[in-house]
Amino acid sequence: MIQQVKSKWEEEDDSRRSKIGILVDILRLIQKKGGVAKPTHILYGANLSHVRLNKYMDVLMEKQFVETVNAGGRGVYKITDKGMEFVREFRKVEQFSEAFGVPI
Amino acid sequence: MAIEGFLLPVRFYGYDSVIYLVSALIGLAIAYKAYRLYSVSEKNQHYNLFVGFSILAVGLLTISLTSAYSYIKFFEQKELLLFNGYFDVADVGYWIYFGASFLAYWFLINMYAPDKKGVFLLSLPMTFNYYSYLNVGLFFFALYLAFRSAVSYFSNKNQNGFWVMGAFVLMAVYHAVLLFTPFFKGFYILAHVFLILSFAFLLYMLIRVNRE
Repeated sequence: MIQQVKSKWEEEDDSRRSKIGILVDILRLIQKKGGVAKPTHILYGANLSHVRLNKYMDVLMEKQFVETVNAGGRGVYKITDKGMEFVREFRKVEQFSEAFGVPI
Repeated sequence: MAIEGFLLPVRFYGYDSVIYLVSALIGLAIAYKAYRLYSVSEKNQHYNLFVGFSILAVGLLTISLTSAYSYIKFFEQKELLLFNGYFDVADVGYWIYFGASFLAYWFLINMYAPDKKGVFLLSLPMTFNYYSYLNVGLFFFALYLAFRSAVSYFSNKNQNGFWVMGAFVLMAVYHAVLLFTPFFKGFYILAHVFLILSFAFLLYMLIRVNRE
């Protein structure tokens, strides 16, 4: 039951937050953590289920916006230069959109 | 007819063409940025912003070229360059420009009011007084855009939003001042100062967005 409610909530949450918005949120989260973040930190910070987070991380890896690196024997996510450039570009487009009062 | 000297002082001939051209180029830059925004968000509202400014830029480019061509021919031949024996070439340019402006503003209005499809597209008769009729319509369209952008600016106090609001206000003022040109030719110049200022505001916003 709880899982059903959670899934429903997540569905609604995703419809409110665009997919691109979630991807950028994850990248910003990693940036805030100094460019490297543990999967659990991203999980809680991005407010996503484990399955859903993996899907988004796969997209980010595929686009080479993040990469996995080894830190103390554990795999962590590191934002790449390409990822940081994407966040910068997204911010410009976001500001342009907000200027017209029609946010992304 | 605009070119006959009824609406604009002879000394201003050509300057308005340049103002239209510069405005068109800024409009194209805004449209390009809006296209990039749409390709990221895939939102209909952003599509309307892109199409709106693209059409507005095409309209301004058309009036820029036709009026410049008309002025050149006027100074060469010392007579109006007639399109079909009655209207001059600049008139045809104005029709395209007004048509494009109506369509562009309609798209921009739909950007702010996506639920109300085709809210109030006015159909105004093409008469010899089309200049005044169409400017009244365009004034109200621009006024609506100014109002919506002002609501947006005052609700989130976004600095870039201030420049967009200013641009739409100036566009509305431009159309309003054009209405008074039959009474005093200087209003034609003043109106075009408002037009170029309006696009200068948009350009400044674009520069700010790209710099940050």
